[in-house]
Amino acid sequence: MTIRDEDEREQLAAEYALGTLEGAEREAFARAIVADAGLAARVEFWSRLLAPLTEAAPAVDPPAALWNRIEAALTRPAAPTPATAGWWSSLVFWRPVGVVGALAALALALYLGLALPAAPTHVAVLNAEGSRQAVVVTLNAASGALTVRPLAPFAAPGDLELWIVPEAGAPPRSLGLIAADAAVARKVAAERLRGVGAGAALAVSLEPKGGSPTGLPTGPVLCSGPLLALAQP
Amino acid sequence: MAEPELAVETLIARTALGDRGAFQTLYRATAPRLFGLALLVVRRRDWAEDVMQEAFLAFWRRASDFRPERGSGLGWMATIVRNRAIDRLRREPRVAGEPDREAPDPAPDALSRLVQSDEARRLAGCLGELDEQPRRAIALAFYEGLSHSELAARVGAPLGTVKSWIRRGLMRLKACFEQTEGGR
Repeated sequence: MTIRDEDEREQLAAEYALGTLEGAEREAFARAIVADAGLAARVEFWSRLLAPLTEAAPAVDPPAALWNRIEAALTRPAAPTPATAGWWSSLVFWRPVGVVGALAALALALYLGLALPAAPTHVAVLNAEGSRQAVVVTLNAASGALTVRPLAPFAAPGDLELWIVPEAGAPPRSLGLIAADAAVARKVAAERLRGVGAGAALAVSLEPKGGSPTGLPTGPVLCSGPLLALAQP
Repeated sequence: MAEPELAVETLIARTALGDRGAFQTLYRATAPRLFGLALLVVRRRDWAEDVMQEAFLAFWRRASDFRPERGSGLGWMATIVRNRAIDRLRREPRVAGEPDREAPDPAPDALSRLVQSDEARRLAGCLGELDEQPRRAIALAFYEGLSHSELAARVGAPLGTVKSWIRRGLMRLKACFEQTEGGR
Protein backbone atom coordinates (compact mmCIF):
# COMPACT_ATOMS: atom_id res chain seq x y z
CA MET A 1 0.00 0.00 0.00
CA THR A 2 1.43 3.34 -1.00
CA ILE A 3 -0.36 6.29 0.53
CA ARG A 4 0.36 9.50 -1.29
CA ASP A 5 -2.08 12.01 0.06
CA GLU A 6 -0.39 13.91 2.91
CA ASP A 7 -3.55 14.35 5.01
CA GLU A 8 -4.44 10.72 4.57
CA ARG A 9 -0.96 9.66 5.66
CA GLU A 10 -1.14 11.83 8.75
CA GLN A 11 -4.58 10.60 9.73
CA LEU A 12 -3.76 6.95 9.25
CA ALA A 13 -0.53 7.34 11.23
CA ALA A 14 -2.47 8.97 14.07
CA GLU A 15 -5.14 6.28 14.05
CA TYR A 16 -2.57 3.51 13.91
CA ALA A 17 -0.76 4.98 16.92
CA LEU A 18 -4.03 5.39 18.79
CA GLY A 19 -4.87 1.81 17.85
CA THR A 20 -8.28 2.22 16.27
CA LEU A 21 -7.41 0.77 12.86
CA GLU A 22 -8.56 -2.82 12.50
CA GLY A 23 -8.55 -5.80 10.21
CA ALA A 24 -7.06 -5.55 6.74
CA GLU A 25 -6.59 -1.79 7.05
CA ARG A 26 -4.38 -2.17 10.12
CA GLU A 27 -2.36 -4.96 8.53
CA ALA A 28 -1.85 -3.05 5.30
CA PHE A 29 -0.74 0.02 7.20
CA ALA A 30 1.67 -2.01 9.35
CA ARG A 31 3.25 -3.32 6.15
CA ALA A 32 3.43 0.15 4.65
CA ILE A 33 5.40 1.48 7.63
CA VAL A 34 8.17 -1.03 7.07
CA ALA A 35 8.86 0.26 3.58
CA ASP A 36 8.16 3.94 4.19
CA ALA A 37 10.46 5.68 6.66
CA GLY A 38 8.51 8.94 6.43
CA LEU A 39 5.35 7.16 7.47
CA ALA A 40 7.15 5.39 10.31
CA ALA A 41 8.36 8.78 11.56
CA ARG A 42 4.78 10.06 11.67
CA VAL A 43 3.68 7.02 13.67
CA GLU A 44 6.54 7.69 16.07
CA PHE A 45 5.47 11.33 16.39
CA TRP A 46 1.96 10.28 17.30
CA SER A 47 3.09 7.57 19.67
CA ARG A 48 5.21 10.12 21.51
CA LEU A 49 2.37 12.64 21.57
CA LEU A 50 0.01 10.09 23.13
CA ALA A 51 2.58 8.41 25.41
CA PRO A 52 1.91 10.65 28.46
CA LEU A 53 -1.60 9.19 28.60
CA THR A 54 -0.04 5.98 29.85
CA GLU A 55 0.94 7.77 33.05
CA ALA A 56 -2.68 7.70 34.11
CA ALA A 57 -2.78 3.90 34.14
CA PRO A 58 -2.90 2.57 37.69
CA ALA A 59 -0.02 0.38 38.93
CA VAL A 60 -0.90 -3.28 39.44
CA ASP A 61 1.62 -5.80 40.77
CA PRO A 62 2.13 -8.62 38.29
CA PRO A 63 2.27 -12.21 39.60
CA ALA A 64 5.70 -13.18 40.94
CA ALA A 65 5.98 -16.00 38.39
CA LEU A 66 5.92 -13.55 35.48
CA TRP A 67 9.58 -12.58 35.88
CA ASN A 68 10.56 -16.26 35.85
CA ARG A 69 8.66 -16.74 32.61
CA ILE A 70 10.42 -13.77 31.04
CA GLU A 71 13.82 -14.88 32.24
CA ALA A 72 13.27 -18.40 30.91
CA ALA A 73 12.24 -16.97 27.54
CA LEU A 74 15.46 -14.91 27.31
CA THR A 75 17.61 -18.01 27.19
CA ARG A 76 15.39 -19.64 24.57
CA PRO A 77 16.99 -18.05 21.56
CA ALA A 78 14.65 -16.06 19.35
CA ALA A 79 11.67 -18.40 19.50
CA PRO A 80 8.78 -15.91 19.68
CA THR A 81 9.90 -13.48 16.98
CA PRO A 82 10.58 -15.28 13.72
CA ALA A 83 11.73 -12.04 12.11
CA THR A 84 14.95 -12.11 14.11
CA ALA A 85 15.69 -15.82 13.76
CA GLY A 86 18.89 -16.83 12.05
CA TRP A 87 22.28 -18.22 12.77
CA TRP A 88 23.22 -15.15 14.73
CA SER A 89 20.27 -15.53 17.09
CA SER A 90 22.60 -17.18 19.57
CA LEU A 91 24.03 -13.69 20.01
CA VAL A 92 20.60 -12.97 21.43
CA PHE A 93 20.75 -9.27 22.05
CA TRP A 94 22.85 -7.99 19.22
CA ARG A 95 21.29 -6.68 16.11
CA PRO A 96 21.92 -9.16 13.37
CA VAL A 97 24.90 -7.98 11.38
CA GLY A 98 24.96 -11.11 9.30
CA VAL A 99 27.44 -12.68 6.98
CA VAL A 100 27.86 -9.49 4.99
CA GLY A 101 28.89 -7.64 8.13
CA ALA A 102 31.47 -10.25 9.02
CA LEU A 103 32.95 -10.26 5.54
CA ALA A 104 32.94 -6.49 5.38
CA ALA A 105 34.81 -6.40 8.67
CA LEU A 106 37.49 -8.67 7.32
CA ALA A 107 37.81 -6.77 4.09
CA LEU A 108 37.97 -3.47 5.89
CA ALA A 109 40.52 -4.65 8.40
CA LEU A 110 42.76 -5.80 5.57
CA TYR A 111 42.07 -2.91 3.24
CA LEU A 112 42.60 -0.18 5.78
CA GLY A 113 46.06 -1.58 6.34
CA LEU A 114 46.20 -0.57 9.96
CA ALA A 115 49.68 -0.68 11.41
CA LEU A 116 49.18 -3.42 13.93
CA PRO A 117 51.70 -4.52 16.51
CA ALA A 118 50.31 -8.03 16.15
CA ALA A 119 47.85 -9.55 13.73
CA PRO A 120 44.31 -9.30 15.08
CA THR A 121 42.58 -12.37 16.44
CA HIS A 122 39.17 -10.67 16.51
CA VAL A 123 37.37 -8.08 14.49
CA ALA A 124 34.06 -6.23 14.85
CA VAL A 125 32.01 -3.79 12.84
CA LEU A 126 29.84 -1.69 15.11
CA ASN A 127 26.81 -0.09 13.55
CA ALA A 128 23.31 1.05 14.32
CA GLU A 129 20.03 0.69 12.51
CA GLY A 130 19.05 3.78 10.61
CA SER A 131 22.53 5.27 10.76
CA ARG A 132 25.47 5.16 8.41
CA GLN A 133 27.90 5.44 11.27
CA ALA A 134 30.18 2.43 11.56
CA VAL A 135 33.24 1.70 13.63
CA VAL A 136 35.78 -0.97 12.77
CA VAL A 137 37.56 -2.58 15.69
CA THR A 138 40.37 -5.08 15.63
CA LEU A 139 41.74 -6.87 18.65
CA ASN A 140 44.55 -9.23 19.46
CA ALA A 141 43.18 -11.09 22.45
CA ALA A 142 46.62 -12.40 23.46
CA SER A 143 48.55 -9.12 23.43
CA GLY A 144 45.63 -6.79 24.10
CA ALA A 145 46.42 -4.71 21.00
CA LEU A 146 43.30 -2.80 20.03
CA THR A 147 42.53 -0.52 17.10
CA VAL A 148 39.36 1.50 16.74
CA ARG A 149 38.49 3.39 13.58
CA PRO A 150 35.27 5.35 13.07
CA LEU A 151 34.42 5.32 9.36
CA ALA A 152 32.72 8.71 9.68
CA PRO A 153 33.20 11.28 12.45
CA PHE A 154 30.68 11.11 15.29
CA ALA A 155 28.84 14.34 16.02
CA ALA A 156 28.43 13.56 19.69
CA PRO A 157 27.87 16.06 22.50
CA GLY A 158 30.07 14.15 24.94
CA ASP A 159 32.78 11.50 25.16
CA LEU A 160 32.59 8.14 23.43
CA GLU A 161 33.35 5.06 25.44
CA LEU A 162 34.00 1.58 24.07
CA TRP A 163 32.62 -1.42 25.95
CA ILE A 164 33.07 -5.14 25.71
CA VAL A 165 30.44 -7.65 26.78
CA PRO A 166 32.55 -10.78 27.23
CA GLU A 167 29.59 -13.12 26.90
CA ALA A 168 25.82 -12.85 26.56
CA GLY A 169 24.28 -11.59 29.75
CA ALA A 170 27.52 -10.48 31.44
CA PRO A 171 27.96 -6.87 32.52
CA PRO A 172 29.96 -4.73 30.11
CA ARG A 173 33.57 -3.70 30.80
CA SER A 174 35.06 -0.45 29.64
CA LEU A 175 37.80 -0.51 27.00
CA GLY A 176 38.33 3.20 27.42
CA LEU A 177 37.40 6.36 25.56
CA ILE A 178 37.71 6.56 21.79
CA ALA A 179 38.09 9.54 19.48
CA ALA A 180 35.05 10.84 17.61
CA ASP A 181 36.95 11.43 14.38
CA ALA A 182 40.24 9.54 14.38
CA ALA A 183 41.60 6.03 14.61
CA VAL A 184 43.16 5.03 17.90
CA ALA A 185 45.49 2.14 18.71
CA ARG A 186 46.26 1.06 22.25
CA LYS A 187 46.91 -1.86 24.57
CA VAL A 188 44.10 -3.20 26.71
CA ALA A 189 44.89 -4.79 30.08
CA ALA A 190 44.54 -8.57 30.01
CA GLU A 191 41.92 -8.68 32.79
CA ARG A 192 39.57 -6.59 30.66
CA LEU A 193 39.53 -9.38 28.09
CA ARG A 194 39.21 -12.31 30.46
CA GLY A 195 36.45 -14.76 29.55
CA VAL A 196 35.84 -13.34 26.07
CA GLY A 197 33.86 -16.03 24.31
CA ALA A 198 31.93 -16.72 21.14
CA GLY A 199 29.00 -14.53 22.22
CA ALA A 200 31.15 -11.48 22.93
CA ALA A 201 30.13 -8.10 21.61
CA LEU A 202 31.31 -4.50 21.54
CA ALA A 203 29.41 -1.27 21.86
CA VAL A 204 30.07 2.46 21.92
CA SER A 205 28.07 4.58 24.35
CA LEU A 206 27.77 8.32 24.78
CA GLU A 207 29.10 9.42 28.16
CA PRO A 208 29.81 12.60 30.09
CA LYS A 209 33.24 14.25 29.66
CA GLY A 210 35.91 11.95 31.01
CA GLY A 211 33.81 8.80 30.54
CA SER A 212 31.21 6.97 32.56
CA PRO A 213 31.41 7.98 36.23
CA THR A 214 30.00 4.62 37.37
CA GLY A 215 32.17 2.12 35.51
CA LEU A 216 29.08 1.03 33.60
CA PRO A 217 27.48 2.67 30.59
CA THR A 218 25.17 5.51 31.58
CA GLY A 219 24.33 6.99 28.19
CA PRO A 220 22.69 5.73 25.01
CA VAL A 221 24.40 3.09 22.90
CA LEU A 222 25.38 4.63 19.57
CA CYS A 223 26.46 1.49 17.81
CA SER A 224 27.21 -2.13 18.56
CA GLY A 225 28.15 -5.42 16.97
CA PRO A 226 29.36 -8.94 17.68
CA LEU A 227 33.07 -9.58 18.17
CA LEU A 228 34.08 -12.18 15.62
CA ALA A 229 37.07 -14.49 15.99
CA LEU A 230 39.28 -14.70 12.91
CA ALA A 231 40.46 -18.07 11.71
CA GLN A 232 44.15 -18.29 12.52
CA PRO A 233 46.49 -19.34 9.73
CA MET B 1 21.32 -5.33 46.03
CA ALA B 2 22.09 -2.12 47.86
CA GLU B 3 22.49 -0.16 44.65
CA PRO B 4 21.02 3.32 44.64
CA GLU B 5 17.95 3.70 42.46
CA LEU B 6 18.95 4.21 38.86
CA ALA B 7 17.04 6.11 36.22
CA VAL B 8 14.99 3.97 33.85
CA GLU B 9 17.03 5.45 30.98
CA THR B 10 20.30 4.26 32.55
CA LEU B 11 18.87 0.80 33.06
CA ILE B 12 17.79 0.65 29.41
CA ALA B 13 21.29 1.71 28.31
CA ARG B 14 22.84 -1.08 30.35
CA THR B 15 20.27 -3.55 29.08
CA ALA B 16 21.33 -2.61 25.56
CA LEU B 17 24.76 -3.91 26.45
CA GLY B 18 23.35 -7.22 27.62
CA ASP B 19 23.53 -6.60 31.38
CA ARG B 20 21.06 -9.08 32.89
CA GLY B 21 21.19 -7.56 36.35
CA ALA B 22 20.23 -4.16 34.97
CA PHE B 23 17.42 -5.77 33.01
CA GLN B 24 16.00 -7.37 36.13
CA THR B 25 16.20 -4.06 38.00
CA LEU B 26 14.45 -2.43 35.06
CA TYR B 27 11.70 -5.04 35.32
CA ARG B 28 11.23 -4.46 39.04
CA ALA B 29 11.13 -0.70 38.60
CA THR B 30 8.60 -0.65 35.76
CA ALA B 31 6.54 -3.87 35.83
CA PRO B 32 3.65 -2.64 38.05
CA ARG B 33 3.06 0.44 35.89
CA LEU B 34 3.30 -1.50 32.66
CA PHE B 35 1.19 -4.42 33.92
CA GLY B 36 -1.49 -1.97 35.05
CA LEU B 37 -1.49 -0.47 31.56
CA ALA B 38 -1.62 -3.87 29.81
CA LEU B 39 -4.49 -4.94 32.05
CA LEU B 40 -6.36 -1.71 31.37
CA VAL B 41 -6.18 -2.35 27.64
CA VAL B 42 -6.72 -6.12 27.32
CA ARG B 43 -8.85 -6.64 30.47
CA ARG B 44 -7.71 -10.20 31.00
CA ARG B 45 -4.94 -11.20 33.38
CA ASP B 46 -3.65 -14.06 31.23
CA TRP B 47 -3.47 -11.83 28.15
CA ALA B 48 -1.83 -9.04 30.10
CA GLU B 49 0.86 -11.48 31.26
CA ASP B 50 1.47 -12.62 27.67
CA VAL B 51 1.72 -9.00 26.56
CA MET B 52 4.26 -8.28 29.32
CA GLN B 53 6.37 -11.26 28.36
CA GLU B 54 6.42 -10.26 24.69
CA ALA B 55 7.18 -6.66 25.55
CA PHE B 56 10.04 -7.46 27.93
CA LEU B 57 11.61 -9.77 25.38
CA ALA B 58 11.42 -6.85 22.96
CA PHE B 59 13.06 -4.54 25.55
CA TRP B 60 15.88 -7.05 26.01
CA ARG B 61 16.51 -7.42 22.29
CA ARG B 62 15.84 -3.86 21.20
CA ALA B 63 17.01 -1.74 24.11
CA SER B 64 19.60 -0.12 21.85
CA ASP B 65 16.76 1.33 19.73
CA PHE B 66 15.80 3.61 22.60
CA ARG B 67 16.71 7.26 21.96
CA PRO B 68 16.61 9.37 25.13
CA GLU B 69 16.40 12.63 23.20
CA ARG B 70 12.99 11.52 21.90
CA GLY B 71 11.25 11.02 25.22
CA SER B 72 11.34 9.26 28.56
CA GLY B 73 12.34 5.63 29.00
CA LEU B 74 9.09 4.71 30.68
CA GLY B 75 7.14 6.40 27.88
CA TRP B 76 9.02 4.32 25.30
CA MET B 77 8.34 1.11 27.22
CA ALA B 78 4.68 1.98 27.77
CA THR B 79 4.19 2.64 24.06
CA ILE B 80 5.59 -0.79 23.22
CA VAL B 81 3.41 -2.48 25.86
CA ARG B 82 0.33 -0.73 24.57
CA ASN B 83 1.10 -1.61 20.95
CA ARG B 84 1.53 -5.26 21.89
CA ALA B 85 -1.72 -5.16 23.82
CA ILE B 86 -3.55 -3.69 20.80
CA ASP B 87 -1.99 -6.29 18.50
CA ARG B 88 -3.30 -8.94 20.83
CA LEU B 89 -6.80 -7.50 20.82
CA ARG B 90 -6.85 -7.19 17.04
CA ARG B 91 -5.71 -10.80 16.63
CA GLU B 92 -8.31 -12.13 19.03
CA PRO B 93 -11.07 -9.61 19.65
CA ARG B 94 -12.91 -9.55 22.93
CA VAL B 95 -16.17 -11.45 22.92
CA ALA B 96 -18.99 -8.94 22.67
CA GLY B 97 -20.83 -8.52 25.93
CA GLU B 98 -18.10 -10.32 27.85
CA PRO B 99 -17.90 -8.75 31.29
CA ASP B 100 -14.72 -6.87 32.12
CA ARG B 101 -12.85 -8.72 34.80
CA GLU B 102 -9.79 -7.78 36.74
CA ALA B 103 -9.67 -4.45 35.02
CA PRO B 104 -8.65 -1.35 36.92
CA ASP B 105 -10.63 1.88 36.64
CA PRO B 106 -12.36 2.60 33.37
CA ALA B 107 -11.01 5.14 30.95
CA PRO B 108 -12.79 8.44 31.59
CA ASP B 109 -11.58 8.59 35.20
CA ALA B 110 -8.05 7.88 34.12
CA LEU B 111 -7.84 11.26 32.41
CA SER B 112 -8.35 13.07 35.69
CA ARG B 113 -5.26 11.37 37.10
CA LEU B 114 -3.13 12.81 34.32
CA VAL B 115 -1.18 15.25 36.39
CA GLN B 116 2.21 13.66 36.79
CA SER B 117 4.67 15.04 34.26
CA ASP B 118 4.80 18.34 32.38
CA GLU B 119 4.19 16.46 29.15
CA ALA B 120 1.12 14.80 30.63
CA ARG B 121 -0.22 18.11 31.90
CA ARG B 122 0.20 19.67 28.49
CA LEU B 123 -1.56 16.78 26.78
CA ALA B 124 -4.35 16.86 29.35
CA GLY B 125 -4.75 20.60 28.67
CA CYS B 126 -5.08 19.94 24.94
CA LEU B 127 -7.52 17.06 25.49
CA GLY B 128 -9.56 19.41 27.65
CA GLU B 129 -10.03 21.71 24.68
CA LEU B 130 -11.71 19.00 22.61
CA ASP B 131 -15.45 18.53 22.47
CA GLU B 132 -16.89 15.93 24.79
CA GLN B 133 -17.53 13.23 22.18
CA PRO B 134 -14.13 13.21 20.45
CA ARG B 135 -12.39 13.38 23.83
CA ARG B 136 -14.33 10.43 25.19
CA ALA B 137 -13.81 8.43 21.99
CA ILE B 138 -10.03 9.02 22.08
CA ALA B 139 -9.83 8.09 25.77
CA LEU B 140 -11.82 4.89 25.24
CA ALA B 141 -9.67 3.98 22.26
CA PHE B 142 -6.46 4.65 24.15
CA TYR B 143 -7.24 3.00 27.45
CA GLU B 144 -9.46 0.16 26.37
CA GLY B 145 -7.88 -0.55 23.01
CA LEU B 146 -11.18 -0.25 21.17
CA SER B 147 -11.17 -0.26 17.37
CA HIS B 148 -13.35 2.04 15.27
CA SER B 149 -16.18 -0.50 15.07
CA GLU B 150 -15.95 -1.47 18.75
CA LEU B 151 -16.12 2.20 19.66
CA ALA B 152 -19.19 2.69 17.51
CA ALA B 153 -20.90 -0.22 19.26
CA ARG B 154 -19.86 1.03 22.69
CA VAL B 155 -21.10 4.59 22.34
CA GLY B 156 -24.07 3.68 20.13
CA ALA B 157 -23.15 5.96 17.23
CA PRO B 158 -22.70 5.20 13.50
CA LEU B 159 -19.23 4.06 12.45
CA GLY B 160 -18.71 7.06 10.16
CA THR B 161 -19.54 9.46 12.97
CA VAL B 162 -17.11 7.81 15.35
CA LYS B 163 -14.35 7.84 12.72
CA SER B 164 -14.86 11.54 12.16
CA TRP B 165 -14.79 12.26 15.93
CA ILE B 166 -11.48 10.47 16.16
CA ARG B 167 -9.95 12.13 13.12
CA ARG B 168 -11.12 15.58 14.06
CA GLY B 169 -10.07 15.08 17.67
CA LEU B 170 -6.59 13.86 16.78
CA MET B 171 -5.93 16.66 14.34
CA ARG B 172 -7.08 19.29 16.84
CA LEU B 173 -4.92 17.64 19.47
CA LYS B 174 -1.92 17.94 17.18
CA ALA B 175 -2.62 21.60 16.42
CA CYS B 176 -2.90 22.38 20.12
CA PHE B 177 0.23 20.41 20.88
CA GLU B 178 2.28 22.19 18.24
CA GLN B 179 1.03 25.55 19.46
CA THR B 180 2.14 24.89 23.01
CA GLU B 181 5.47 23.48 21.95
CA GLY B 182 6.32 25.38 18.79
CA GLY B 183 6.25 22.11 16.84
CA ARG B 184 8.75 19.33 16.54
